[in-house]
This record gives sequence, structure tokens and C-alpha cells, in this order.
Amino acid sequence: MNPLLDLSGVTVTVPSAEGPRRLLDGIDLSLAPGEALGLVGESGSGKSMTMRAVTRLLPRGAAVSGAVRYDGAEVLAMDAGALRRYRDHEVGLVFQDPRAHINPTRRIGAFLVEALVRNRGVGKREALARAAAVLAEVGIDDPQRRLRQYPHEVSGGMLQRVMIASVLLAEPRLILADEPTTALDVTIQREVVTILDRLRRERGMGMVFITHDLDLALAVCGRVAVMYAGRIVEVRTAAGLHERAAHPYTLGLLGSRPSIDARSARLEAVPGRPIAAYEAGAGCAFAPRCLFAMEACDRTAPPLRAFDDGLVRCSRVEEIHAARTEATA
Amino acid sequence: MNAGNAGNAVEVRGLNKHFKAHHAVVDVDFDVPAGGSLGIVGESGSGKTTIARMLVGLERPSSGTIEVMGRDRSAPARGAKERGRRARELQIVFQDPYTSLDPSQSARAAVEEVLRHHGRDLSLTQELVDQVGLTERQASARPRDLSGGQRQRVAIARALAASPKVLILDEAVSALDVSIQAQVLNLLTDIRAQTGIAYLLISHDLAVVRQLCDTVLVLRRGRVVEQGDCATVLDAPAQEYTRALREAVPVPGWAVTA
Repeated sequence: MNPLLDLSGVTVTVPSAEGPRRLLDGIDLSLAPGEALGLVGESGSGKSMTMRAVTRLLPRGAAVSGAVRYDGAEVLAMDAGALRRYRDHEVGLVFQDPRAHINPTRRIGAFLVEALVRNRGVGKREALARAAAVLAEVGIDDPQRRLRQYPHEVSGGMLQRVMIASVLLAEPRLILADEPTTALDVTIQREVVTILDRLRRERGMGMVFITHDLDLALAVCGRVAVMYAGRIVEVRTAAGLHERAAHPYTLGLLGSRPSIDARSARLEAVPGRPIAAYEAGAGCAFAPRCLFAMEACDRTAPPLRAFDDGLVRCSRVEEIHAARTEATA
Repeated sequence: MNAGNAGNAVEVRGLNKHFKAHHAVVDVDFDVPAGGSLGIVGESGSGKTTIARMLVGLERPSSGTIEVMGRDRSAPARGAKERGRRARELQIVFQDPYTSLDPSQSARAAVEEVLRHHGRDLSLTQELVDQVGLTERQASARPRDLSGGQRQRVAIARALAASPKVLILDEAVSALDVSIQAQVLNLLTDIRAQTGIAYLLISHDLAVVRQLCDTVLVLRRGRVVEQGDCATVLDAPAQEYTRALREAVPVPGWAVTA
């Protein structure tokens, strides 16, 4: 099957007072129609910038190279009209803070029907009926009453469902969700991701789910890509990543997270702090924090290559894997 | 729970807080044993932060008693001497290390200020800086030149400078990247083992509570849902709400397998 979304060698550099800064360094990523892909990383890893490259919503003065293909079309080469159609009809965005992305002075109904009425020429009455139907689909009781309410009258979890409903009204084939549940309570998080997942399956939409929470990505997505310093360092199925993570950074992330089932005497903390792409040296960006790093790791940046049914960016992955397998045997 | 047990660092009985018609905290009782660690878990609006604010004296209880190290602090402190004594009993570290530090003050200066205020020896500064794992360069840097994890270490060092018996950690690791969060959790575990300080951790994250706490209290809409040993409450929750919280924690293959 042809990919719905395909990124190859996407590199983004932004200007700063100290000169150009690289934020993404050769992102290769592919999403099949209807697939849910998790994009996981810490601060500065470039996960949100990757999403902005996909929609070409980049900071002023940013330089992009590489290719972003949506359904075969080159997004980076689209003219204004094609780009608008792509953004309006094909891609739905869900952000962390719904309150920052909704006009607080307008009723929820007016917000939901705006795009339908203005971009699609749907009549207002028909648009309101569709909006009410979609609100019911995202599990909102009494949609007629909600349409008349203002954003401040509903909870954060409810408003995030409204945002998801607004995305669904455009009937996109691709959803980009950037930390969509990070600001929500855990019980509400569960409801929201369950709704997102059900609708994605029913409608066959592809989804890139961006999160700092590896556990959540593993729970929600079929496949997960781990980012570090503006690069993809590992890609694997969720089950594969959970059981057989291979990159030292992924192993570090898994070891860093306390378990709800037992207290460990010490967490296997990764020393140092996460860095951005422009802070990385010539070699492997993770090498300064890596317990397995050797001199060569500081000199040459390893490519992303196939290993154990996944992709891993580490020169020593075979040795590390062998040593770990031996240790646990 | 043993009322009046001399082994408790914190004893809270019948605690209530009303904000006009809103009943934010309702009849809450709990203890933190000396050197112990209690996690208060709850979602938005559970009242967990209101409880922390009453413990440090930022809010006044509507009714009920709060004792820290056997001394009542249900009413505001009278005079500088009493405030100083309360500060040596209990300190707090907030969630956001970006807003809780003085932007013009290095870690070293922040720690020295607190040591001086409490009449402690300034030579303890280096010990505290080392204890929280800050390098020389980081200890001399302004907050804006430090990362989130480093700033949180500064906030912890500053709190420890008062040599408190109890440290409230109000979502103190929630905003940190996971690799940094692990470092700070290890640091907090070490500090408790070394100093015998008691923790009261306010958190929405059950796994963090399990890692750092001996006992846990589950709070919902201002009321205690259940409390007890971490292992008991989290492994075999007696209440439906605790079960729901527990099941809402994402695990692989939890909502879906694609």
C-alpha cells in the first residue's frame, strides 16, 4: 500500500540571535492509510517541529529541505491554493491546549460550523445538524445544549472532545495529535484517547500521535518512533518496542519511568539532559549520555538502519543486544 | 491511625476548607509518620493543592486541625519567630521551577539566603549544592541559564537549607522530562534515606507516588476516598474510584492494538 504520509530527509533550520539553528536533522518517517503512529521524545527532540513540517506551519524564516509527501503530492512544493486545500480538507490538528485554539467569545456551535459554512458551502442549518451528530459521536450528551454554550462553560476534557469533533467535521484522512491529552486528568485522558482511537478505526484515518509519554504511545499506537535531538533513533511496533527496545535511549526512557506495580530501589536514570539538534556534535547525538558509547560514537553519526524487525540509529546495537540477551538469559 | 502519636511529623484532623459555597476540602484526616512519605493523589478539583496550601499557611482552614512536629498551625503564625520556626519544620517545592525561583539569584545565593535567615552555618552551602547534584558552574548560574531539572534541584536545595523535618512536593517532578524526572526521583529517595526527612507528595501520577511514597491517600472532590499502604491501595484498591484511576494509567495494548 502506498503511504499516506512519507517524510524523507526532512531537515529544518531556524534563524536565531546566535545564527541558524538546526531543529530537525534528516527525518525519515512513513505512515500507512489508517495507521496510528506514535512520535515520542523529550523537550527539544523535534516531535512538534516534525508535525509543523508536515503542515508547513513553520516558524518565520525557517529553511526546510527534504521531502514531505502526502498521498504522493509534495507538500513542500504546493502553491497557496493546493496548500490551503490540503490543510482544510486532508489534515486535522488536535493540540494540547484546546482553550488556546478556540475563540472564547463565540459559541461552540459557531466554532464547529465555521469551516463547513465558509469552506464547503454547507447551509447553516445542515452544518449545525452535522455538528450535533459529531458531538454525539465523540460522546457528548445533549449536543444541542453544548452548541449554544461558550468554551468557558465546559471542562477541558469536554473542550478537547469539541476540538476532535471539529477535526472530524472536515473528514480528513490524516490526524495530527500533538500531546492531545497532556493537560487532562488521567481518567479523562483515557476517555479521549479511546474516542480518538475508535473514530480513527471507523473512518480509516491515519494518525500521528505526538507525546512525551512513551507508555501512552505504546497504549494508543500500533507503531512508535522515538526521537532524540531532531533525529529518529528507533522505530518499531508498539509491542516490539515494549518487549525488545534496542536503542540505548529507548532503553533509558523505559528504565526512567517508575512502575505502578512495584517500587524499584533506583530508577535507571539516563545521566545528563536531553539536547536539541543544534547542540549535537558530529557523532551520535546521544553518545554523551550513553552508557554504551565508545570513542567512535562521538566521531561518526550512525544511520537509521534495520535491526530486529525495526529501525535503529546506533552503531553498537548488535553488541548491546547480544550483551543484554546474555545478561537476561 | 494513632491520634496524638508522637511518631508523626504531620497530623491532620477534620480538615475543611470552604471557598464561599464551594466545599474544596471535606473532613480530611491523615498522618505523615516522622521520616515517612505520604502521597496525596487526585485529579483536578480534588482539593490536593488546597491541602498543601493550608499546610504551608497560604490558606486558612475553615475548620479542623493541622499539627506539624506536634505544634498546631491551624491559625496564622504570630510574629517572625513563629514563622521562622514553622519554616524549619516544613518546606515546599512547587511544580514549576521556572516561576518559583528568583531570576536574579544563583543557586548558591538562594541557599545562602535561607541559611543566613535561619542562623545556620554558611559553610553548609557546598554540602547542599553537592547533595542535590549541582555542579560548581550550575550553582553559580542564574535560573535562566539552567534547565528545568537543574532548577528543580535548586528549589530542593533551597528548601533543604532550612533543615525542615517535612518537605511538601507539590507536583514537583510533573513538569520534568522523563529522563530528568528519574534523576530527581532518585535524588529524593537518597535525601530521605540520608536525612530522615518526611515527604508529603502531591501528585496525579500513581507511578511516581509508588516510587516515592510508603502510604497513599486518594482524594476526590475534597473527600478521602481511601488511604493506606501504597502496595495495598494500588494493588488491591477497595474503592471503585481508585480502581478507575489505576485502570486509566496507560499500559501497552491498553486501549487498542492496531
